[in-house]
Amino acid sequence: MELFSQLAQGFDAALSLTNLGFCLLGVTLGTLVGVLPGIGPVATIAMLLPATYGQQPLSALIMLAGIYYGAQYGGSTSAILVNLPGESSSVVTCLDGHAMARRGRAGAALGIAALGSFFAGTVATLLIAALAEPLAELALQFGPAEYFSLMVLGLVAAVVLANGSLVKAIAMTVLGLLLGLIGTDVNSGTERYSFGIPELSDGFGFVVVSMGLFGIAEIIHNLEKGIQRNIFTTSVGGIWPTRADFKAAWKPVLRGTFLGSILGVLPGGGAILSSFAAYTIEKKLAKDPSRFGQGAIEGVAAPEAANNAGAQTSFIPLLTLGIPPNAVMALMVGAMMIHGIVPGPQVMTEKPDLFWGLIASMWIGNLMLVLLNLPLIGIWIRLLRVPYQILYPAILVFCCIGIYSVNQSTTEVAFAVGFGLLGYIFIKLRCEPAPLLLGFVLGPLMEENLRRAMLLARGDPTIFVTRGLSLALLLMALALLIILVLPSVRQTREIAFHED
Amino acid sequence: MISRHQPFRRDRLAGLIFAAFGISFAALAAHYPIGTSMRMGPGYFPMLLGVVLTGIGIVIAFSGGRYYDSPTDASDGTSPAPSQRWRPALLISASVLLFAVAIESVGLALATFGVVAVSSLANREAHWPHVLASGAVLSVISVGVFAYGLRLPFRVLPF
Repeated sequence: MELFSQLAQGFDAALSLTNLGFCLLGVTLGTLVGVLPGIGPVATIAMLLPATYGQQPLSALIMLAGIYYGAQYGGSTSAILVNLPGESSSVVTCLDGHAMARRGRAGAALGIAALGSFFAGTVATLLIAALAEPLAELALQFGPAEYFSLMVLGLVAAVVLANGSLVKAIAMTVLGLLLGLIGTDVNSGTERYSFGIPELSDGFGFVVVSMGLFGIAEIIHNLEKGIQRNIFTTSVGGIWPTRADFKAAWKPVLRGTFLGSILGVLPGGGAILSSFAAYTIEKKLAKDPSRFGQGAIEGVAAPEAANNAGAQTSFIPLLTLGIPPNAVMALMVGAMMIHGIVPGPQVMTEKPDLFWGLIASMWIGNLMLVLLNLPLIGIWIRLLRVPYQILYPAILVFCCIGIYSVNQSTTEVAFAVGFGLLGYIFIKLRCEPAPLLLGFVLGPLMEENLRRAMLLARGDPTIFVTRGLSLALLLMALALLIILVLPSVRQTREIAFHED
Repeated sequence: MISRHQPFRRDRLAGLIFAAFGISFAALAAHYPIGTSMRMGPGYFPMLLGVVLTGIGIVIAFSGGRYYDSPTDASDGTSPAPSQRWRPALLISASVLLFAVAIESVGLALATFGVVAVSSLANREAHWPHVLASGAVLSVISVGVFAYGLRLPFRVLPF
């Protein structure tokens, strides 16, 4: 079997002592930021991006990937114990996970979340390995029209996932696209919206925008809300779930894994959409839906499996098509570029060690996470007690250093303050910043492909619906919109975001 | 206290901000060559998006709060007096700007300390001995990790 020999090659690369070390570092950091509310994987990866200059490309990617899926594990811990989603993808876990904790069954909830995630991670890793090659071949048939439609699908998915009003999310996406166009136009060499500022001739840096919107703005918002003390007195109980728990949870874990794996592949999908969809389906399938929200173990098992599967399979579009499906993957593009790797279908053939090594490291990382999360749960619980007033100046310092270290530019640090204030205003106006960031990344790519497609079609816009693949992608975008306005999905979305 | 009209006003403001961005981007795009739909110039796509954004902004502003989200919102329940509300925004911004000024003139160690000190002013319950201690500890950590560990070419000390 070719697949297994390739995976073996990957394990060979990933199992070197250095790479194991970076994998452990990544998943530990990921768990850490996942547990701590107020700092997420986007900000963390953005901060550490400049620090990966000096490392081997594979080690750098292994560590950054570890942060992302590690955060999925960590996020569930704070969701279950203190009803605060450490990560946005753990929002639904709060509903039943915290209800279980209030009944003194926090241990079982944590246990099933970790084991379910591990199972899902294993399946998703195999899936990436199996799907990568056929998808990369499919990608070779992609023309500019298909790439454009794929990005439309991604943006629609981002809009659908946003917290609150759909129309505002669309506006945020469009604004993001526009901000992404700032800088030199590659086709004509015209500098757009740069106002003669040299730092703007390449546009705003991704780190500047993401740190401003997610780092600085969040801190301001949290401080304004007032610093809450999260004290929990419930005992955690036994970590190992009972036989009855396993019996109730194995089917939801399977369904969650399946759903998460599929939804993760969609651009704009990934962990958040997966966990929402999984929760909704479990509630639909349950004999007694009223148990949900009261501590149903299915309501923890399925979304946790789904968000981990989704986090892993969201690497598929990045690795095979070169398209970042979400903000974290956009940062991974940045990391690859730093090392001179252009993401896309050619990575697999030109750098097989890197490609398969990264995939193998994901499984290793998942194993490390189970070991980190179950026996060491006490450490993470203690971490939850670190007060925010000590935490936020530290986060702020790391943000500043992260932004400055990209280009040693103090002007960019000042720009980040601007985005911080903009982000804060948007939070106050209930406009979620995530779609803006995705639009910002996809803006130049989208324009490029739109121009090429229209040039090939001699100015005829019907090219997007007359080419089969492009039409299929656009229909998927439409279907996604329709599914998400269905009443039952909307309800979960509302309940979950209501907890805020 | 939350006024009953707040979500409505919030949407109006959000819509107007979006429309303002849209109009500005579109107006500036008019200075760049637009081109044709077959050969798009640098102004085409931004012009298109600017017009779309303006349209969406107007819809949000004038749809009469139809799209407003959850009417009850815990985070707004206890908003402090207006003079206090901008305190975190101002002080956090100031601390980051201070870092920008300080990093090249007095170096990483003092810049870090400055960020911790100024940003802690935003927390009214700050306990100053703790702030000074954590500022010192963070200075040591950031110099150790970033300047020596990762060998980033930062100025460390003022002399």
